[in-house]
Amino acid sequence: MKFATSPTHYTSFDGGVSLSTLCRRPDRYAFFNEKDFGQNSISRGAGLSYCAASFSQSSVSIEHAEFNRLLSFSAEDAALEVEAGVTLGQIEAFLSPRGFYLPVQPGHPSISVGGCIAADVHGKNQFLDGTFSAHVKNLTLSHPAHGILKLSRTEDDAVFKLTCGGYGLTGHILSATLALKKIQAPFVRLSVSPIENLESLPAILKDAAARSDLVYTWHDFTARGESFGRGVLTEGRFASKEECETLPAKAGHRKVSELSARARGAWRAAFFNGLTTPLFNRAFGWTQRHGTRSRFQPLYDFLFPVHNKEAYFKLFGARGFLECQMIVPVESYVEFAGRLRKRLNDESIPVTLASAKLFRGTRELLRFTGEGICLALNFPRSTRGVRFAEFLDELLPSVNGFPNIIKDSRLPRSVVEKTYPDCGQFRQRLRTFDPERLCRSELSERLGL
Amino acid sequence: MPFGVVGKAGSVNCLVVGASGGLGRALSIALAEKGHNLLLCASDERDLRALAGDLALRFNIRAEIAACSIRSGEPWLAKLVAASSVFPRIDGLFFPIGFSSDDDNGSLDEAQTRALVEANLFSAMLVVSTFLPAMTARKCGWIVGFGSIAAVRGRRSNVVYSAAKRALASYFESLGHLLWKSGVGVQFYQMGYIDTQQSFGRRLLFPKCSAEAAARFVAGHLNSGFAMRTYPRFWSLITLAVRFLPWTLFKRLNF
Repeated sequence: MKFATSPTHYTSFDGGVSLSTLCRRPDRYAFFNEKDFGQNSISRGAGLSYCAASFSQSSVSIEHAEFNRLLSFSAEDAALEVEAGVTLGQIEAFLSPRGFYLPVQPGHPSISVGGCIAADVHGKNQFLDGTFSAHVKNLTLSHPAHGILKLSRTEDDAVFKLTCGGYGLTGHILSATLALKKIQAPFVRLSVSPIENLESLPAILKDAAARSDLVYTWHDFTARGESFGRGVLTEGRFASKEECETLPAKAGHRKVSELSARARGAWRAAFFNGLTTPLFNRAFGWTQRHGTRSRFQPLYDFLFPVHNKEAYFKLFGARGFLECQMIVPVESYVEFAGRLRKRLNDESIPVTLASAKLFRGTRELLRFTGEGICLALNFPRSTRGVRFAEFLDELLPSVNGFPNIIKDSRLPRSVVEKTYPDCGQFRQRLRTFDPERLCRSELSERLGL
Repeated sequence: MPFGVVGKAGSVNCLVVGASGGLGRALSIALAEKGHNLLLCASDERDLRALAGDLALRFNIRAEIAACSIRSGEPWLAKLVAASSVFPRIDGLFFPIGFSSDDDNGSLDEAQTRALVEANLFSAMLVVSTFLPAMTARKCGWIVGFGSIAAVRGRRSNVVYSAAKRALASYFESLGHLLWKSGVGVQFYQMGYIDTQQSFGRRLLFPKCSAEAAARFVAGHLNSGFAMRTYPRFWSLITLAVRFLPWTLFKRLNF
């Protein structure tokens, strides 16, 4: 069996990096036995990373789309073994009728498990369940020089830790066993309440986290004066058995709509600008504040809020957008919020999305976790937008905050080195494991990993 | 064509030879979607285990595997028959198996030639002759083979492969004749370009169709009357044109 290599063109989801490279799409395990299959290669899952984590000009991208099978399931152990190309939507569709769910899930059902592990992603319950890697019991990794490795916290722990949140640089994740949680029904009792200003956020999030399973906020950063940062708090709590009796029997899975970097950039012109964004935010805020305050929502819809709202990303046009996601310690949050407010008052930026979550945990290597407030901002990719992102690059180290590497395709190496104390250690451990550095991406080259 | 009633979903057992990738994998999924139990046959046990696990979990069917390398010279048929004994009977035989070689230019050695003929022709013949007596005795069953548009006429590349596939078409035509009153349905598909590993990255003259679409078509037409069909349909016209192209022109074509 021969596995062909094909020229291709990839774009990061945010539209920031676009280049021609080579790809391979194996569909059999024999591929990973091929001599030199992975000389300068990098895994590619759904291709939905905001930055160029799954391609570069000097590597062949190995697409895992064909490795998308559920391998085994144990209700007793609450564990599901899957191939790395399986999507969160596939998992949700399988688990939901069986009374289980995957505790950590980012916003779209097309995201692959391999990508979730490599970027150690989080959901709307990081304060409760941590990041994705906390729910990975074990995984199988294929490395061109080391062969196939079985990794877990008890088996080759060092490489396991390096792989979870290792941006695919330790090799190709083939499969993983995921720890699941039981739920009584695939529904969430959702409640929405208003937030008057940005400064009160830490207290609001802490209170909500004490009573809810899933928590996030939305803010209007285009409002001026006292209204700046006003928004809504969304809380979710899993529906109880009693509550389930009044609900429809099935949550009703929808067909997963297409989400890809190519489709995202399909509209040449951008809708979002200084005029339209405030209107968009006012309208969205109004619907949130004046909608039903408390209702039941299918878990699928709560977990994947972006699902069926893919047009939002298209509204940025072909140039794309910037996302800056960061964790700011609670102690320095007020200072951070004040400086952010001042900057946005001085130079208006059409921030289309500002959303916050509460984070808990210990920092390690390059994983995006720790104690504090996680804030994500979306804005159009423009000269002003890049200047604003550079402002955040400077602001974050001064308040002991740090950015999410996987969300920003332009994040400079200097910022990562300043804000991630373990960056050098990650680099060193990676070179110890793979002295030839066979797995590379634009991300790893930009950050010198 | 008087087909016998094969059985209700859940009690139908199908053997798929060449199940690990491409059309074979897609066909296995399409049959599992219909609730049929499967015996999956291919050379790599890891691929088969992954597929069987997935199908059993998602579709709540019984999926068993038979890891046999048809080209290795091992007694694969005995292994396959032994694996099939976990099912009370086999109701459907599917042969989405194909193997080609870049060196197939008329000068292959004996082992390579045998391997090509074994994979593309003999395997189907041997499996059919093993399971056919029981199927005809029950007066029901499906036998589905897959050829290639590459076999419409002899060509300067894939010489042995094309010959084997053309012989396979002849064999299935014979089966159709032989079994038309038996209740066992025989179908043979001449497949056009399918989006599989073989066609990945290749610039082709005509569009590729997805393996999933082809598989769903096959699984959805098991009780249809036709015996031989070209898929996708537009290839019928192309194959017709190629078939009747005068030799003086045909010999100059480079394909």
